[in-house]
Amino acid sequence: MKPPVITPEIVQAILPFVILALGATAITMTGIWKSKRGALLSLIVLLISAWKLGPLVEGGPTITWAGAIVADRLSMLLSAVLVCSGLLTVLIARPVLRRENNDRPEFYGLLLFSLSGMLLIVSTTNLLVIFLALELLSLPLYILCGYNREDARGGEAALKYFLLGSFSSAIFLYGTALLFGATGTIDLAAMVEGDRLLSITGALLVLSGFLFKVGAVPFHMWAPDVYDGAPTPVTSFMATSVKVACFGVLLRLFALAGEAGGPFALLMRGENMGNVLWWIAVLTMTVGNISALTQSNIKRMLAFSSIAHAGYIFLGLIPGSGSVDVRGVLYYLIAYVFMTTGAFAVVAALSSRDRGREVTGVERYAGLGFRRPYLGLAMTVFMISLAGIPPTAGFFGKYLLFSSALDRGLTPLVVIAVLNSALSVYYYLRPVVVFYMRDTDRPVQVDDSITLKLAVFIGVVCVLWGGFAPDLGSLPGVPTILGWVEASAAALP
Amino acid sequence: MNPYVPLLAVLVVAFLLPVLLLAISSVAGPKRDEREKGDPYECGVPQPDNPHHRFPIKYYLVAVLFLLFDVEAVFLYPWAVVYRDLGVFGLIEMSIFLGMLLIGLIYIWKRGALEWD
Amino acid sequence: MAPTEQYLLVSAALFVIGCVGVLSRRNLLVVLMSIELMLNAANLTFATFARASGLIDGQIVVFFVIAVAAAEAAVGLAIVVALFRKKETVNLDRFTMLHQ
Repeated sequence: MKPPVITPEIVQAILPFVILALGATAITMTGIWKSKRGALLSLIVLLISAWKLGPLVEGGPTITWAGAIVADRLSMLLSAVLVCSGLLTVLIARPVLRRENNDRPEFYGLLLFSLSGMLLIVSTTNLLVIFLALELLSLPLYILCGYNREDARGGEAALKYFLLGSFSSAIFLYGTALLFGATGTIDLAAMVEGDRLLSITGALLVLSGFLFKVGAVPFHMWAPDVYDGAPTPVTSFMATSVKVACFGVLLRLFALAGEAGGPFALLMRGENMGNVLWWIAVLTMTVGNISALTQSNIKRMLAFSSIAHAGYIFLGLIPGSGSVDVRGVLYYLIAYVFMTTGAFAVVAALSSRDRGREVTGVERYAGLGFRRPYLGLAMTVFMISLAGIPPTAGFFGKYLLFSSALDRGLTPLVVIAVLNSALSVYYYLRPVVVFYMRDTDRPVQVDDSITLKLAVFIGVVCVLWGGFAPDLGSLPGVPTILGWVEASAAALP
Repeated sequence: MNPYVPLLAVLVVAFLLPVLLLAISSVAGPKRDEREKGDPYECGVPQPDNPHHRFPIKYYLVAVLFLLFDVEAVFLYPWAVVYRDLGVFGLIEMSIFLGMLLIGLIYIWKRGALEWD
Repeated sequence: MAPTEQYLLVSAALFVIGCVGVLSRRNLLVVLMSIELMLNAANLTFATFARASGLIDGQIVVFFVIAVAAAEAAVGLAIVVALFRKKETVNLDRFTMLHQ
């Protein structure tokens, strides 16, 4: 038996992941002497990781190693998005933890552990590695949900997330076992259709494991409660990064299946199974949007909205008469990360704690538009982007997804999605209305720390940059998100 | 006649006899309810406490730590089996693995998780 | 040596028992055990298929799953202990703050 050869290329490809994992270990260890520099250290680690990742996003061949690691432009772009999301989360988390007097390096250590799991999960086709990475990204998140020990709601959120998360992991694992039995391999890229019943059952179980993680209907029940109970920086991280990582896996999975067949092709092509994905998309966006309508707590509203956005993304995963819309899904994921993180950054700036319990009601935003014009404007940008109104990244992402779906003959689905978007305008614009139309005598407490402002600023810039992408693309030398996305999409079969 | 019929008869009698005796004693015998009768033993020291006692929560911490370090040893066995084939590569890998466990141990030790009170 | 189907039936039964346990039991520790049962059902399935097909992959998976299951149980127990310190109960129905 010969151990697999470690080449310089593979070292380079997994270096961002290794840096994050080692950094996470080191930062956790500084908890021994209760260091207060967790945020700074984690920013340094993230930046080093991003620096090593940069050249790989720009190009380079697809590297596979021992059937466990697949490093191509898709995985590198997703990794870059995840690292960005991690950076923004640290920027949001530091002031929140500081003002709650709860700034411990373990928080950042766990965050980086989770992030390293996400980097791993988007760069593999091996179901065992996917399972390990899924646990590596989930376990720290369970703990982070209950990070604030004074907040009983956070503890409950941790419990709920843990129970349903490990339940879904177990379902995923059983599905993997059945797929192994049916096809004799655990490498998705090498899977060919074996025993039909085993293949379909296994593929369905694996898929439902992921549906749990991305909060798709009918596996969405945990999302509003957990998002509401967790500390705001953690909610922001969960709502964005976990979705990017899991949709990254689903994207690769469906793209591979569309090309090479195998158990998951059965789900996509079979006469009734195409309908299952269709129903998931319809139900996820509709249930998310309708539930969001009645929320007065902005964190809960964003939680339901993140369910609805998962529904839109599913639109791109249905092959219809063509193939999976890699470009649209990737673009939408990137847009979604920046607009949602930005919105949560504003929520974090405005929230406070009342006897351990976090207060995030929408009435706190009354008059913000006049008293804090920049913050109000930023939140307005995030909200219209989430609603899909031009000239924002959210609009352009929806445009790409919907037009591509029309080309693939999914007209009824697109009609439903457009109706849903129209419905969502109502609840996204409500905070904006409260900003500018209502005023109170109550003083507004706003967290003025520089890192929060930076996070909001980065969010606004990226959302607008993404929205103007088609025009900027014509300027020479200016990179566009769309350009990166198209180059990454070309890496898949 | 089947040679097993006597055996069957013995079985029937063996079954009926205790049933009959128990029935007679429960119908004809005197009944006195006393607290001692509910105790697990008819003699010896009186029971001090309810046996369904909750463990102090500190034991759970020990259980968690034991679980982690105990189960990770599962990787040592297959490595030991193919130790000669893997050679230096396997030794380095296993050292990295044990090094990580060691870092974890140092962390929980320094954070005071191993202190009882 | 029992045929493969019997092992698969046992593991499927274990998986279903675990599933039902998670969904119906109210004691947190029992729910944790049920999740472990589901993971071990998957392990048994892997081992069975690995033995039946002579592929080593399935057995490798089992090792990793055992280790991961321990980590998961540790995190779960830690969360339960942290909650117990606050509420003095392990009954799931008593944790209802998030719906208000």
